[in-house]
Amino acid sequence: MENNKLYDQPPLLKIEQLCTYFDTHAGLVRAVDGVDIDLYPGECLGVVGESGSGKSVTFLSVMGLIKKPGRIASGSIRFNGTELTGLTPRQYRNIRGKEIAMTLQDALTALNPSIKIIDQIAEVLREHDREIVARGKKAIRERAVEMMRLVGIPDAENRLHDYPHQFSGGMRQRIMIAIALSCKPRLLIADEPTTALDVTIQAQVLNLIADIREELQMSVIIITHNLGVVSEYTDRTVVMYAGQIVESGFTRDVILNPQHPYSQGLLKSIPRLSELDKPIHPIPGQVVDLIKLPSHCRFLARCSRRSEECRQEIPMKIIDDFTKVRCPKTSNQN
Amino acid sequence: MNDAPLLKVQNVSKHFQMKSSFVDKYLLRKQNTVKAVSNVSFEIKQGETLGLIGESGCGKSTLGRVILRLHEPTRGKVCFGDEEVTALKHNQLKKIKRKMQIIFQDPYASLNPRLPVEDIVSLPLKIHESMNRNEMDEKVVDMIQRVGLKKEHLKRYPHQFSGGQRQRIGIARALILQPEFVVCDEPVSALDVSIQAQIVQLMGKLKEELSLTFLFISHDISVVAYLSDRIAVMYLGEIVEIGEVKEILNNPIHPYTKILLDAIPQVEHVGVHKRIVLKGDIPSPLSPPSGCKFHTRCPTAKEKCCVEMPVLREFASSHWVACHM
Repeated sequence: MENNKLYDQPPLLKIEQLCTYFDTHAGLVRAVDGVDIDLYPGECLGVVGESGSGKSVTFLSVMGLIKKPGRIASGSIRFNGTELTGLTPRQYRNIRGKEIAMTLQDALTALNPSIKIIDQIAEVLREHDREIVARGKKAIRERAVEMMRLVGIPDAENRLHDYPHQFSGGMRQRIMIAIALSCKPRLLIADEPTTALDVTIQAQVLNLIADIREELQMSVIIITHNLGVVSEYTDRTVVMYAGQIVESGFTRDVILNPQHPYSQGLLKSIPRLSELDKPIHPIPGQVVDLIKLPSHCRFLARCSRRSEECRQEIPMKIIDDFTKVRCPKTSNQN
Repeated sequence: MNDAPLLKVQNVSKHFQMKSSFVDKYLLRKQNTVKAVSNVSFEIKQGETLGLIGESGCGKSTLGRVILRLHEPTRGKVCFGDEEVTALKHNQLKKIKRKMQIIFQDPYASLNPRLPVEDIVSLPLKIHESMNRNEMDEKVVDMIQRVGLKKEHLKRYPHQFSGGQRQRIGIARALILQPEFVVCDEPVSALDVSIQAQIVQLMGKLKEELSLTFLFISHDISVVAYLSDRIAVMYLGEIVEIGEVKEILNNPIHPYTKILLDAIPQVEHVGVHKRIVLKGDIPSPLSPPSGCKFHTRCPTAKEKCCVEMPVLREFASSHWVACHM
């Protein structure tokens, strides 16, 4: 998997020191606080973390979908050389949906319940694909059917005029993927693509994303809390905790040899089918309050390896080109 | 573990009649029936945990509720100890219900937002026991500490707690009467990974301490396998395979069990995701397929499977499978 040729090219997406804050009545919520992510062309990146870790907000920022009271406070997001943070809404629309597409977590609420499937797919094409619009309605329709076939919706021709509620959860997720892919984007961001689905349907959807990624040569970001999904489907992994990245590296290293106590804790807290006799070890306590973030390590209160040196701001420790850990306790070799 | 079964479920079916509209009646259309559970039988021994797995819509929650008579079964009977739960009337039913409790899936919807935790947890005591205020308080405090919360939390309201803490409150409410049998209906599905592990560990601990018997319903097979002694696999309202955890995991026989187990992404499989992918969705329980209900998606289906319904047979010692193979 560690195809080194992949990493010779300049990154397709480069997020640097991104801070996305929300001004609320209770105080400033620092949902994303200094995140750096590089994504290379053709790569599949997994982003893991619990709710409130800032994983969705990071990529909603990339999509330019942060609305008030939220704001991108500082940092830069460069896609294919273009800085995205200062773009006007009109400029953003040329990129969003066309170059970068995102599928949202809940497929039932993300689709418009009162618009037919064909019109929801056609909307993206009308907006972004001038060539196909010029060829007329029939061409748009054909393309929509083609997309529905690509994502494996059976009997696509006859279901074009159905509404979202007439499809099952797995099928709705496929429709979202079809909408996202209809302009052949260079980057697909899949936010919890399978959380609401059964394992058998989850396997269908993930295999579908993997196949299409190969076919269209796109980069994929999978945001999830399922470590099994990350392990099986991604090349590199980023682990987030309370708005920061705590560890990043090749999936193989992060999963088999995690460095940060949080990543280690996560891996020890899930029961594994192959080792049922081994007891699980939950991480004690709860995620910190994003309004009252401590100035020291954010994981300190739940960490089993804490000591005096953790009572300060912890910088990211660079272990090699791709491996970074936010913990002073990690040894370089293990 | 005692060998006598604590709970016996015999040929239980639960059908829901769909409402027919005026037009349907006028045209004399047949009323639609959802066969949520059909002809399910199993036993749970004292102190045992039976895990119930299957896709959403396969009837596992309905089965759990029928056992507690939160739904009336259409056919069949449920026996708890020596008593036939399905034949009991009001007062006797109330008596037996204190021994059988349930933990719900959604910790946000299952707690009354207008009651403080104290009232939520003590309500079962008020209904089932006649005890004075002090005794009651003592019991509530003891239980809330057992589930890992503090005495100070009792005055607070559900919205002041996180998902994991709410689920702890739900567990405290279910266990306050010291039941013998608890139906756990997806108790960790709505929680974050690290919190999930805390609750799973808590349930394991309480089971030992209070010598409970669990029916553990979940679609997360790793969690079920971790907590259970035996596993039953459900598909479209029927049990297709039942047996010891190790036996089911290492030697699954029914094609559906095989595919279900194969579909779980596992942490050990770094960079590998080749698997048999099950085609299509679960068929509608309004018009389930004839013969073996799995034949429409089964990779090894033969002609016989489309016509004849397979019954549960014992393939190995206490490993039952419903398949023609």
